[in-house]
Amino acid sequence: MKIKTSSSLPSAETDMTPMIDMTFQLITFFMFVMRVSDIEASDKIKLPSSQIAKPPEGKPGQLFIVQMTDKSQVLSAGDYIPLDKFSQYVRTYVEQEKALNRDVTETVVLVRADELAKTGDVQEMIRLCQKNGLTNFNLRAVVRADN
Amino acid sequence: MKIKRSSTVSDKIEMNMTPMIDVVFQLLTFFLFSLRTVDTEGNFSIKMPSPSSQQVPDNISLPKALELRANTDGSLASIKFEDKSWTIKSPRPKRPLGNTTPEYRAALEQHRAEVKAAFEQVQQRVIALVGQPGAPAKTDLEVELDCSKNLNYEYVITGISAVSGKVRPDGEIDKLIEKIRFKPQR
Repeated sequence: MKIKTSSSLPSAETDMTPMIDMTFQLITFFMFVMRVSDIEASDKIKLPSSQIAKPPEGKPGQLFIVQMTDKSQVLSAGDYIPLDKFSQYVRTYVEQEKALNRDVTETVVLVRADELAKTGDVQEMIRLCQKNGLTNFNLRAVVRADN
Repeated sequence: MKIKRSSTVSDKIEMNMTPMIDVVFQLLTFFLFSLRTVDTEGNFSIKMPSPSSQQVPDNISLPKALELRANTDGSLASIKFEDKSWTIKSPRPKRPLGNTTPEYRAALEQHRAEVKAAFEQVQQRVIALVGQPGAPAKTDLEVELDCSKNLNYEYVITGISAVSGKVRPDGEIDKLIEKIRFKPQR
């Protein structure tokens, strides 16, 4: 019996158009949802929450961000700075600002401290900033609907 | 001259979409990995000049002291505002290693509820000082936070929230006391 084999099998072509449409929809969604943060914010710090904290409005001015972990270590640009060396760090920052003819009294110190950081250490961090002429402070907290 | 026309008038030009789909999936993967869900952060604005530069005007009243005392583990032990004090009876439980247990979560909720109730009473005292919520905040009122050195920072934020504003049922915030400072550590 001769078995007839077809030399060319019919090819099953799938229409990829709906899949491409869905993929573009997803890309558009992620592009609109993604936000580039304007401040340095470390994941290592879990901020305390509050209903009263106000999200900042408008473009931030001169900001000096200080972050403190739950082990009361100051965190800056990924490096841990011991609290006794923090004064030198602030002094360096102030000197840089003065070299750029910026008024440090207009600089806002953004304090991002972990909820389990010790208050005494946060106060000491604030005091060292005050010692170098920084007087405006914003304490950061996560905005919660129910606290 | 006979011009031979092809029976197929136009050949379909099929574009190969595979590279475009590849790039689109690359983009999608990039956005998936770079997406970070972060909670909205807000600020408490506090002006804290250095103690040496402070000049107390004649017409300013003395700051109201809000004392927050801590247990050895840093959890809140007691609150004192003006002549009234509140003791937090249920301590903050120590977080177990690994997953949290129902007992831990229940103890934590009880501790948080007690702290919240105590600060609500502090807020009532502040409202009595300021006047009706929604009235212009008395600009001469100031609160000085006197906190234990080892107190967890979260209680400081809760204290500042309690004295600086009250959330109305419609979600708007009535300002209470705007001037807040820390008592210098001894």
